[in-house]
Amino acid sequence: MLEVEGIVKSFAGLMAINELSFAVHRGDLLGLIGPNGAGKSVTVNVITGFYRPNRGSVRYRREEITGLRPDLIVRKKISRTFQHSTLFFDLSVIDNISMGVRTTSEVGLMEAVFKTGSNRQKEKRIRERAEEVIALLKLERHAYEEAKRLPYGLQRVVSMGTALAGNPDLLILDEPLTGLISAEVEEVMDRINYLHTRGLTVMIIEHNMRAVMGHCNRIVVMTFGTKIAEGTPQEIRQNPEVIKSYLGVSS
Amino acid sequence: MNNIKTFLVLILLVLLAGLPFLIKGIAPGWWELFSHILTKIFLNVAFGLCLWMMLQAGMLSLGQGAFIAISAYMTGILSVKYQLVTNLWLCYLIGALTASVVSLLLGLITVHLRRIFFLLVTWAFAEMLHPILTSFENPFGGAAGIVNIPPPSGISLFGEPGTGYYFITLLYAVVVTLIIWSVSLSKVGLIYKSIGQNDILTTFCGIHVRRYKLQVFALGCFLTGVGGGILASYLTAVSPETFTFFASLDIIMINLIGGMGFIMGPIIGAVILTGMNEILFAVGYYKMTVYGLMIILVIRFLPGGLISILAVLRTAFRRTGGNQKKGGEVERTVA
Amino acid sequence: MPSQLIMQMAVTGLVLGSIYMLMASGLTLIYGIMHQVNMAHGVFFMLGAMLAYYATKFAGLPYFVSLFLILAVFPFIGILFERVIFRPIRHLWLAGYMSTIGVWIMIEGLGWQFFGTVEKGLSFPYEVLLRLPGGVIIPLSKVTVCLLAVLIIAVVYFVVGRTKLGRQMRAIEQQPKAAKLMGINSDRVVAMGFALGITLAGMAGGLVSTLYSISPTSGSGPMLKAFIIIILGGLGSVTGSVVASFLLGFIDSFGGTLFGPQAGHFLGFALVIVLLIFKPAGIFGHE
Repeated sequence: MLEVEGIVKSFAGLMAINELSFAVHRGDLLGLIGPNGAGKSVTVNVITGFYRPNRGSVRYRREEITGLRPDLIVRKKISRTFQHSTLFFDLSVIDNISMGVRTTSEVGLMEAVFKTGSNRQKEKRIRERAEEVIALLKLERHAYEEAKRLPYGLQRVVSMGTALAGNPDLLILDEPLTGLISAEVEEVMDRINYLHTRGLTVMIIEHNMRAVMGHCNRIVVMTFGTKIAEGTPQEIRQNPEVIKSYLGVSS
Repeated sequence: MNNIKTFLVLILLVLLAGLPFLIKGIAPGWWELFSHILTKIFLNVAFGLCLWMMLQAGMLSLGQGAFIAISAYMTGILSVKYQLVTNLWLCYLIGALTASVVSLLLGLITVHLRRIFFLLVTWAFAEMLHPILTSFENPFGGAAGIVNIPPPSGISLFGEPGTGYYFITLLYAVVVTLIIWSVSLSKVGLIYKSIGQNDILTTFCGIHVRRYKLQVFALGCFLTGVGGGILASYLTAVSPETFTFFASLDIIMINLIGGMGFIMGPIIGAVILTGMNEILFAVGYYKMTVYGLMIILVIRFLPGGLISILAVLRTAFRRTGGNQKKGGEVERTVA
Repeated sequence: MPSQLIMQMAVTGLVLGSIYMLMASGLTLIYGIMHQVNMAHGVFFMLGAMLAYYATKFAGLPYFVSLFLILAVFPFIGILFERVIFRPIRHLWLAGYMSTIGVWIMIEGLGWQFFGTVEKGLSFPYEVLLRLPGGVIIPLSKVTVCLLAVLIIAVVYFVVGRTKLGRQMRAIEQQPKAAKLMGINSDRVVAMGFALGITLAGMAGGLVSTLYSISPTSGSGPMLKAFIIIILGGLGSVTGSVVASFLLGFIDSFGGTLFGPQAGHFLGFALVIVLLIFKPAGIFGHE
């Protein structure tokens, strides 16, 4: 579904990604792991169009998307979340999630001003979809609260909600478990699993090896900007390169 | 709650519409003063709301005064200098379009960059305008400007021009308020707000941020321009001195003092600022000192503006009140 | 075009450039540490000029002593400014700009009240005209200003580049959170940065006071130039602002002589527009 081939990305002479290639197949729950600074987040930013790679290509469903604007890539039904709590803090939860909803045609200014029939329908559909997602994530109690008032764990849920609202086919999660306590980690992984079984292809960037190894069907390991291993959790666990990089870290 | 609000607003409008006749009946000598101040208030409400909409999207324009000037001067040029257009309403429209086009040009250069560039370029543009207007006799009339700008047709519909301008600017303010209010309640308004909060996240929601920023800027400057044209007729003359940096500053003050959280903010701010201008007008340079001090104090102690006081009162009132819907009022804050 | 005229314009360009450099580097420093543009910067220029004026006219101090006075007083003004205005609202970007605008207007208003509307002048202690090789004639005042400005910038360069304080300032500029973790007392460093930046503005004002007439609005012209310069040079880059200062100095000098006094304004603005279209990071800027 998603193919990353030969990506090279450097910033002011510093090489962040060096000849990275891997693939995400439809229906995967893929984990991208690696130590800090390995270039995982940069990879996500390149895939989603936030950075343009110096070399290499990104293909989604065999379509070349390298260097496209992020909003165009997202409209192809790829969603992503961010490493740190990234929300519209002063907006309500339902407004946050509404922003994630994609409509087939953009809401135009003229129709917004004059509140045409089709505009009203669109807005209604947006609201319905947002309420759907809120119900799915069990956020009804907080729907009209300002996002900044929520505890960190719930904020993360909201950002996932915003990503899900667009009904993506591919969901990329950038370190979704950071800062969560183990009970919350379980919850989040359960939700991800649930979505995965319903047909969503997921790519998780994570540090938390146990969660990743336990749930993903394929793993890609990165260090210093390149891939050092790719395969099933068992294969990765036995891979000598990986063991060398993660000396001392139990998996 | 919304029905009460709508009702109150309608009452206010009826009151404003009837005010000329009321005052002329009771104390006719006062009408001229009233209409003068209220006309200015209505214009400022519109200018303030346009900037408010831009501020929602995180765009602080320090050059709104310049866009007013562009439209005002265009009106003067078309109607007086070159006598190309006799219909003043058309002049206002062309002036507004000119302001809008200029804003698009500036926007195309700055809007996708860091916010500070937008700030600096709009400021630099506003500063540049003054010497440009002063230096060229054609078409700007140089330091003297353009005089004898005529009123629009229909001005004497209700008696003397003063009352005519009163109703024109009232209508203008109402239309602008309706448009901006309507946008703010829609998904487009939500997009503006989210751009203001976090434009990267907005991009990742599938929104072409640059396009929406250009849109809000162009719309705001167009609506502002209409008022600029009306202002030209109202003052009957335009000169470089009319549109200094303080024109832009006033509009920012309106938003700051009134508050940017709710649409009522700039409306209240416009009333207060216009009132202050009239009082401080006689006080000359003290005005600058007072203004400056006010800005500092408001930001330090009341960053949400006056409307934030009202918001606090409103929540307090609601908590002690009787009828609460289960789960609290579902109120989408008016943008 | 006679080579003497070109030389004359070049020399004027150098002088202008050195003055702009003082203004712009102060602004750049403050922008670097705070990521806020100090809209009040021009007002400190004006205060510097005023201090020089009142010190010489009313306190009878020699001109150069008044410059030392600026050097002594303005750091405290800078620290005060940062503490009172900036610190409480550091985290809100809009509030920061607006507060500095407030300070600008308030102080300019006070300036009008105390100074009056009549422009005043201060004359350089030694009214000497120098004749440089190439036939260029230039007053000693301008040469002194230029040399002093260069000296001051050299000191700034040294401080920013080589001292511990300078390193700390750069650390805060690039990675504010990491800097804090490493134990850098960011409050103190920011205060020092302001002290330096504001003093630069004040010195610029003091130096220029003998070249042009003084009025409460003296600061806005240099400030606009400074803004243009920091965009051209790249926000936060001191080297960039130095280069851009001289670039603008030459543009103003040549443009002013050839096309009229306002030409420099527009050319500078036009240059900014062109730059923003093609290289918004500025000549030396980084993303």
